[in-house]
Amino acid sequence: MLSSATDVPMSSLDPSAVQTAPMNLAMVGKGQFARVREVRLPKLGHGHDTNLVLRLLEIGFVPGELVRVVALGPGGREPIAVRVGGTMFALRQHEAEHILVDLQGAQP
Amino acid sequence: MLEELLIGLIVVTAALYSLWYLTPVSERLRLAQAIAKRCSQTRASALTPALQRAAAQPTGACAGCGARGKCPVGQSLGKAS
Amino acid sequence: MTAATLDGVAERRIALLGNPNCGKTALFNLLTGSRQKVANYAGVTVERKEGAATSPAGTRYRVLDLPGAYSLNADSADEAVTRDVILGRLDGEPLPQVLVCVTDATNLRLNLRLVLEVKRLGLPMVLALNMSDLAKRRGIEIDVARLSELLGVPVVPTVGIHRQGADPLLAALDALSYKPSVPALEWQPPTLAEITETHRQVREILLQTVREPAVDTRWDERIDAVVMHPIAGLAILASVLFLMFQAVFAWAELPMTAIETAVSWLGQTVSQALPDGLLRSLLVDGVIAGIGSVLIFLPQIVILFAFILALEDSGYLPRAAFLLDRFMGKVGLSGRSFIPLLSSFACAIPGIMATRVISNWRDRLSTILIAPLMTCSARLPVYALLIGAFVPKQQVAGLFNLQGLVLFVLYLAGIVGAVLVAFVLKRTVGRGMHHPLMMELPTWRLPNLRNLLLGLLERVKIFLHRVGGIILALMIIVWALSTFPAPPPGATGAAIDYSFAGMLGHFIQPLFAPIGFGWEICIALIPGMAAREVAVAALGTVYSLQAGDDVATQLAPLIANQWSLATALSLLAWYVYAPQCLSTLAVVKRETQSWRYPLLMAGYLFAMAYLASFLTYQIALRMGAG
Repeated sequence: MLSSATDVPMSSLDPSAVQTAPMNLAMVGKGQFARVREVRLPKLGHGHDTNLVLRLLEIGFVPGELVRVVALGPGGREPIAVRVGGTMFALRQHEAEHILVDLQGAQP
Repeated sequence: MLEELLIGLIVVTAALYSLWYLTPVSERLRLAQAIAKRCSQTRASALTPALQRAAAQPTGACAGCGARGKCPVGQSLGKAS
Repeated sequence: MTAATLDGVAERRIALLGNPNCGKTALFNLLTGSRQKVANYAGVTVERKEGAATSPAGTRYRVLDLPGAYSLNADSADEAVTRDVILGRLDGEPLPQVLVCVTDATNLRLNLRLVLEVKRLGLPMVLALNMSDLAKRRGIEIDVARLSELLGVPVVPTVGIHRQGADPLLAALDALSYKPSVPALEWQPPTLAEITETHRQVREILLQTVREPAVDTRWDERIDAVVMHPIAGLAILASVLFLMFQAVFAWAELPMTAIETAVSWLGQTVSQALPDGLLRSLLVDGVIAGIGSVLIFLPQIVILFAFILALEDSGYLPRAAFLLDRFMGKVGLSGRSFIPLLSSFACAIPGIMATRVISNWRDRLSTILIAPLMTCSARLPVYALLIGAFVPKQQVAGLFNLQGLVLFVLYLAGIVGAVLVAFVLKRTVGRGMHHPLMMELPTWRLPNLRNLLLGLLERVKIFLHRVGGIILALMIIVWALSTFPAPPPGATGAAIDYSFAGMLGHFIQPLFAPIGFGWEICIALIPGMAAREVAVAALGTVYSLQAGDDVATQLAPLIANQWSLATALSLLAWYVYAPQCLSTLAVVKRETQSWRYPLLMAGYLFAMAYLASFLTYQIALRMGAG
């Protein structure tokens, strides 16, 4: 599930796929729910990112997990306070970008 | 005369204590070990473990405020990584 | 093999391991009480906490509190130590015989993952469901027997904050049979597939053993909606801090007067009991006046700490860090610097040590260098003295008291200074590339009153220990230096002018004349380097000697009469930025492993302090406060 693929929308090939374009956690609005799809290295990876990805997984961002963006820092972008599996973490935009999600909207 | 003697004693004790307190732990340990070596054959050697323990007590660093590592502030620092 | 102690009674070695924020520290404190020993692990700046515990049945345990870790795949020095101790990789650190995995019973979803990871190592284990009282209150039901069955290890509920909360754990430990330490199986860093699989297993286990009501985070989120709101949140933060400083003055009045009266009474009694002479002067001017001047500020320190401890316990601090992260980023710090910097308001030393959580070296250095600008509590007596003497007790806008307001401004000045310095550092030294945050925001908790009181009591003991120890010793020395040599017969002027201290003071005074410091202040600054409060004590002694008569008069009115407002303001400005005490410098050297940084720190702080004092003094003079 670790890939360094560039974003390729699946919808063009499989009509029954989820219609949302791949979005990452940093794009999720305040108060919205989302489901984790995968955690991956972004296109321009930095050396330490493999550890970052492992750690994100370890703290609960596994595929299928439901998360909720609870708050955004002043300025509206970062840090991102996200509740995952009963714990709440504050992430940087850079960190949240590693987490690909499917947006569920305002209801879980 | 007695009064001056007493005062002198108090002041000297205070000075020694301050010096001891303000010396870094590493230096104090070295001093304690040197004393231990010197006194190893005498009766005073019974005191040397106590001296070394006293020397190791942090008084400068983290226990500069006397906490000896049990500072109540800062114990619940949480981090993810 | 059980470890033999000096008395020949066998002790069993156990280690506590768990996520941060699972209440492990409280449990450790409960088990070991005051029988703790704190040192460092060999070769690394990670704290090693060990203690002795005795079960109700009488078995003795040596308990090692391992640094909190989210995973054995270590991401910091702390976590590396935890991993290495468990795997037996750390030289000189014997393998624990039993691992106690401490978990937060209200958050097994996260906590059990580490437990499963550790279980694969094949070490003898006991699982402690900590905070089980909180779980029960929230309606979370855990089938302990089934959980134990599924995991294959004993499982016990514990409550770190109740007096007998650790008894089930000790009973379970007693019931185990202890074999010679079994080394752990091979450990490899996990792959993503493995981690995902572990999570799946955790979910499986939880499905079978835990039942929780669905709406348990509702309250948390309601509070967070306000507290973490960009505007309301910041307003609340400012108000909390403001309130804190108001309280420090408003609530302390009564206890302070009480202490003042007691000290005065003591001084008078001793004066009358002893004949005129050196001994009386030593006791009255040296000891009572010196120590008394500092002791008076104990209530204010207690109030300050009460706030800090309550804020810490409640879970508010990471949220404040969340709010300030962006601003801190602008000056080259990370949000993780916030808690160390806030700790520095109590004492810079734990604050500097807390910077270990900052993985980026440049950020960490930046934070260490500016930590002293967060006015430490030892400066509070100096501030309180000067504010008490020079700022009138007025109400501002009918609601706030002026003294509290001035104190707030002083702390603010320190913070502004820190921001400036951080900014300069960012420009000159440059910012590192990556600033990880990944900070846990723990659930809200009502600060536990018992813990709070214990923490305050500890703080009071620390203060009294310090006052009765080094401050007393230094005061005796200051007294001696200010009394000898005695003035020659037929000398005019105060006796103190002829003493060593007097001569020294007059000698260095020209250096400080441009900032308005009299020679008494110059003298007091020197012992102040050992401990900040000592400056106040030294002033107490010097002025008491100068006052001539052998009654310990109150320090505040004395300086209110003798100093100009400009001098007082200048001294306040000095103390906001002044170089910190020797202990702090020593800690900086240890944490940065070099002399360069402590010297740099002392240097820049001295320059800043001098500049600030100079500006303050000169401006105040121009404005007629001379």
